[in-house]
Amino acid sequence: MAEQTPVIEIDKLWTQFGQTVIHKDLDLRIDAGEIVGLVGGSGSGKTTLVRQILGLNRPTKGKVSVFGIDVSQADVDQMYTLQNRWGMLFQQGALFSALTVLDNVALPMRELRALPDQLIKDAALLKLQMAGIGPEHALKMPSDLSGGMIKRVALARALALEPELLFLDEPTAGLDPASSAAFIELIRSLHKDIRLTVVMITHDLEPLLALSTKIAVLADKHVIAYDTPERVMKVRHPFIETFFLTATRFEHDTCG
Amino acid sequence: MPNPDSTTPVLDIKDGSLVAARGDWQVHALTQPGVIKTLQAKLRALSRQTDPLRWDLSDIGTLDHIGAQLLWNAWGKTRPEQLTVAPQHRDFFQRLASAGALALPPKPPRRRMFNAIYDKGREALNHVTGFITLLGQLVLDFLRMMQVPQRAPWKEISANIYHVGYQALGITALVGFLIGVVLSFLSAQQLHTFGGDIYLVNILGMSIIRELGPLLAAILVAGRSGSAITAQLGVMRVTEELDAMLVMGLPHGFRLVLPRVLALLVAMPLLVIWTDAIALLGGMVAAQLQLGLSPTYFLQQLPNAVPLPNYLIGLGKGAVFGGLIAMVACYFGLRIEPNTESLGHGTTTSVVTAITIVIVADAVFAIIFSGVGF
Repeated sequence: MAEQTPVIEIDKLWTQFGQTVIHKDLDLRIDAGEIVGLVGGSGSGKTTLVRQILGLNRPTKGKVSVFGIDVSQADVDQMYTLQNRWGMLFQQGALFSALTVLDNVALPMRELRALPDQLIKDAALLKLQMAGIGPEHALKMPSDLSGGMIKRVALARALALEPELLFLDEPTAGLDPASSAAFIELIRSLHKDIRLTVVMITHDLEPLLALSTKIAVLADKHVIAYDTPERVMKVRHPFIETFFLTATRFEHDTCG
Repeated sequence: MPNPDSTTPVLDIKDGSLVAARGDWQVHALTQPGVIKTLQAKLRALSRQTDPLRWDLSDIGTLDHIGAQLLWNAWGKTRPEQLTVAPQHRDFFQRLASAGALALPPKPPRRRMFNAIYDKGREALNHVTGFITLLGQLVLDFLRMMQVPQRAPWKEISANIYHVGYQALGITALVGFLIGVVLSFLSAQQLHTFGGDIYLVNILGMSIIRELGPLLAAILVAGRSGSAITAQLGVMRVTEELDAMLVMGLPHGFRLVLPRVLALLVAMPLLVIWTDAIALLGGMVAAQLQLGLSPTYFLQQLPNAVPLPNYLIGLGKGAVFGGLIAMVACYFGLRIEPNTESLGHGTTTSVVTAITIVIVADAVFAIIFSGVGF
């Protein structure tokens, strides 16, 4: 188990929309058990990169493998196994608006067509409770929820099948500080209990520094730094300096 | 499977009261065919035993919350007295214990039949008042537009005329032409047996100009533009664009409903003229082929066979149908709630209602103008 294949391996990835090149020779290797914070300026292609890892967008050139399977070459069976091993929290939640909160979380479990109904209900309620949604909200429709609650339900759904690989797109944006802290705590404890690998896109320094075991910085069309937070902060690059410096200065301003 | 014994979740009962679990108690292992059935049967048998059981879970390979929940439910949602758990799995049961009893809120009581009927009646009344409100608002908005014409939404009106009128020319022409051909063939066969070939012009002219032209155009527009308008407004509700407009002081009636209704009021009579012409052309072609009636004769006879009032009734019908379609579409579009189901339901209802209302209005026209134009 020592020399295992990386969970995600991106090799010489090119992405091009029309004439605009988004990624140019992008390489990234994420090992199991890491919590990777993916940062970069607006429009630097963070979400596009995650969508390519998930097979939602095809890269123009290059290879993306997840659990050793090339995502763009995978057949239906391979894709099905992959889809049961990963979970994604979309930026806007992407809850099914025609289903109740409980059904949204239960859906991935029901789709396996093996678990008894009572167990699914209990497990879904537990997931919701873990994400901070009490059972009194379970029968509501997504349109009746606030933005923060949508995010937490979406997290519960992403965690429904206890994936080994979890993608989070702006997980704490729009959450109040208390829920944000609870969210960080939840991810941390899950990471400890079920060997979870997390890829997290975020602009918030708090979850980034609190959770990430590694930070990948996306700038100049490729990953300019991929290392532990301490080391990434020491890299001399205009983007990294402004990203972390403005944040620390802002903290000083508000505190002083 | 490389080694089924080590990954399949199994319960072993040793010396009567010790239950030992091994394997992977993890969702993908549990959902292997047959696994969950066997486990459930075993757990059910165990739950019938009265003497306290000792549980040993230390041999479990990987555990997740679904596996833990399965055991937890079998224990009657409490921790058994004697339980051995591997340290890395302790947190799962801790979470289950701290979550407590998670009960769904009670479902609302079932509606009695009388209540259901009452609700339906209320809803129908709601629709009527809502539609009248929309109509009243439309009149007020129109008066406002007349007062300050330079502030009227001219751009929206012209864009809508382009969408509902110009872009519908192709489909109305195709359908109109084919209906003209079919109608002409059928009538010609019947008329020929009576030797009344020359009356084909009367039948075609009357039916197409007075009835079929406006009705065909209206049904096509209801399906095409009515659904588009409803879906458009519905998506604007889902994406909160409608709310954004209100905040910016752009009233829905003036900026969304009025331009669409006016556009259809203008475009529909024009579409009726177009559909009439193409349908008559189709009829003419078929008449030439079937009965040998020359187009020259057809066109010469047409003014005598169809007096002018019929044409005006057709155009008037077109305008009224257009206004009704736009109002129905806007009404249902603005009522859509921000979820996908409501969007689909609203669009369907809008088109069905629009077509029904058009046909009802057509009947009303037939009664009112029963003595005109013959």
